[in-house]
Amino acid sequence: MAAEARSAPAPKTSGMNRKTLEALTGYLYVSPWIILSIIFTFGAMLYVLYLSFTDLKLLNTPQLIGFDNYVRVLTPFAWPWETWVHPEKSFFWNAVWNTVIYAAVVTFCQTWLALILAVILNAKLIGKQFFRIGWYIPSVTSSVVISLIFIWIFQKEGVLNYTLVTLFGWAGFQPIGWLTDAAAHSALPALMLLNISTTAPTFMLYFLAALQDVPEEIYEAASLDGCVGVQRFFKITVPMLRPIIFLVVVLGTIGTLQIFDQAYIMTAGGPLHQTETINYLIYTSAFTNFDMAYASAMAFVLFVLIFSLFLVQNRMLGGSNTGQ
Amino acid sequence: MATTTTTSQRTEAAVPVTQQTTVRQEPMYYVLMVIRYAVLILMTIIFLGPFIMALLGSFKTTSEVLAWPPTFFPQVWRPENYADVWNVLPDANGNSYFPRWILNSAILSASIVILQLFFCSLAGFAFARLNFPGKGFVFAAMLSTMMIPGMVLMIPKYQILSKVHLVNTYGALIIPGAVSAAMIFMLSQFFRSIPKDLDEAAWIDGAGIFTTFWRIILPLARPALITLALLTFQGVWNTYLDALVLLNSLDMYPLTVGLAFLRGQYGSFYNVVLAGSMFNTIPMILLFMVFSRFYVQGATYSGVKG
Repeated sequence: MAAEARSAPAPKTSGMNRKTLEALTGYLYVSPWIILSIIFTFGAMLYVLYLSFTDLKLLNTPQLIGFDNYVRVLTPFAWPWETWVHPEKSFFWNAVWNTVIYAAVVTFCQTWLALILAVILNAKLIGKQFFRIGWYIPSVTSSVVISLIFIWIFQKEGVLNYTLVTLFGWAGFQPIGWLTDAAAHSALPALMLLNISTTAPTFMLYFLAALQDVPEEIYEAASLDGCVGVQRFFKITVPMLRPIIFLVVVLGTIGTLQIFDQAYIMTAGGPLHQTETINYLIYTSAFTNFDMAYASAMAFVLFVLIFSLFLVQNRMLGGSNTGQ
Repeated sequence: MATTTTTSQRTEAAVPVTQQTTVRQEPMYYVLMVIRYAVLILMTIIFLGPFIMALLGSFKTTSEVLAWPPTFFPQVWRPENYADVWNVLPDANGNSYFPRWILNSAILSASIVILQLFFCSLAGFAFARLNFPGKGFVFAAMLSTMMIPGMVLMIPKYQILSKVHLVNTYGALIIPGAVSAAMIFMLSQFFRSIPKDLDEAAWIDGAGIFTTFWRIILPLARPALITLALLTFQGVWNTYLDALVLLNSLDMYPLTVGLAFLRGQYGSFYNVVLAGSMFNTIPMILLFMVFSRFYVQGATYSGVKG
């Protein structure tokens, strides 16, 4: 049958055989992506790498200056007062510290919170559909709107302080200026809280969907062997969900390491550089201070950081990458 | 706990597993259910509380929205906030920028969705169905681009676009946004699930490659295409960084950048700021409520279930 089909006259091939036509059509269909990614992805990466070795500010003609930018990026302060005496020395390590701590805490908390909640709620409950829709709302909301809402919530006269004073006032809790109080070091934790509470629900819904796929028989068999409760959670549920846990952790890490919008809108990196993240530093260096080459060097270091983290996570957690 | 090990095969089939829950349970079961509902309600308060407060706050007066102690329901309802934010920031001719911002968001979102629907489905079809030399390499390259942080590409993107004088135009966002590796990947996975017999049947009937794509595969891919349209529309409607960098005049801002700017200018009128935020959020919530099943399905197309 197949042989007959192939010998039938092929339409509109204008003399080419099917294989060549297929190859050309294939490339034609993929060409928009190829062209755009050569310009805006691969070419752009090479351009960033090139820029990082120049002295481009904004409009000057870039001259190659070797590794100067990388030296400036990677050299830490010796003493805190050096920031004012030598302002060109970088806040990069401060930003790396902020970003890594933020990413680690948020990814860890949001993954565990989402997983535990999904397991708790994986049962026949009334109104589950309603909650499923409601809990997804944070993830259809733009980061700008979330930032604006939470600036208001985190105010000293805001809802969060009011709730905490009501709950813990008897223990002496006083309202905190979450985003403004440098002494309290509360700005970065506030951002962590924000992100965990707005991304955990979405991941919880992913886990819930995956939990539906765990066959009931496995739990039955396990309970016959005497494996229930917490033990069942760690020995059965978690391993069965390994691919999606891996996905959630990777997505979480890559996303949290790139935090920008909230740091820019809510705190502008403050107070006192406490919420300066790597992306925030890159943005302000490039587009506020117009120090493009320096920003390029930082950007490239960020790329290497994220890429290596991804490789490490792949090795450690799992290898059940998306795709077949 | 009722077990099924002592029943015969036939009765096992006749008694579905779920029937166990209608039998009187150990007290532990009811305790668990109470805990479950308590967690449910507590989590809803924590996750949705800020958004509900924001919605209520958008109807409060300026003094009430910033009052201590904060109120829940507005003492005085002020829907004028929405009119206020609509007319905020008049430009030289007395026209407000706010509607313009919404229009910009709509134009950008719609254009990018249309372009991506076309280009990503073509590319996804090519990866799923056509054979061309180097296909595996190109596919891997495409997947690898998903790992590059956006900020890294922002600097060269700005440089490239400013050299061709596209900065501060719609094109600055539309052209780079016309294809998305993640969407191509999602569509290629979906196309793979369509049986190849349909292709073969079309080929026998004399259909060319494009006809097969356009007439046979594409109509079958409607759910995946709807997911692409929804996710992409939402992504562009909610975009911030790209617009912040590549657009620099008030009349070109999309709504997100405009709102952030608004807060800088009118931060003391937070009721108006919150009302403005609702213009950005409510459409996305409505869209999600109508098409909810397409959103979560999108994750499964990428093989999340492993």
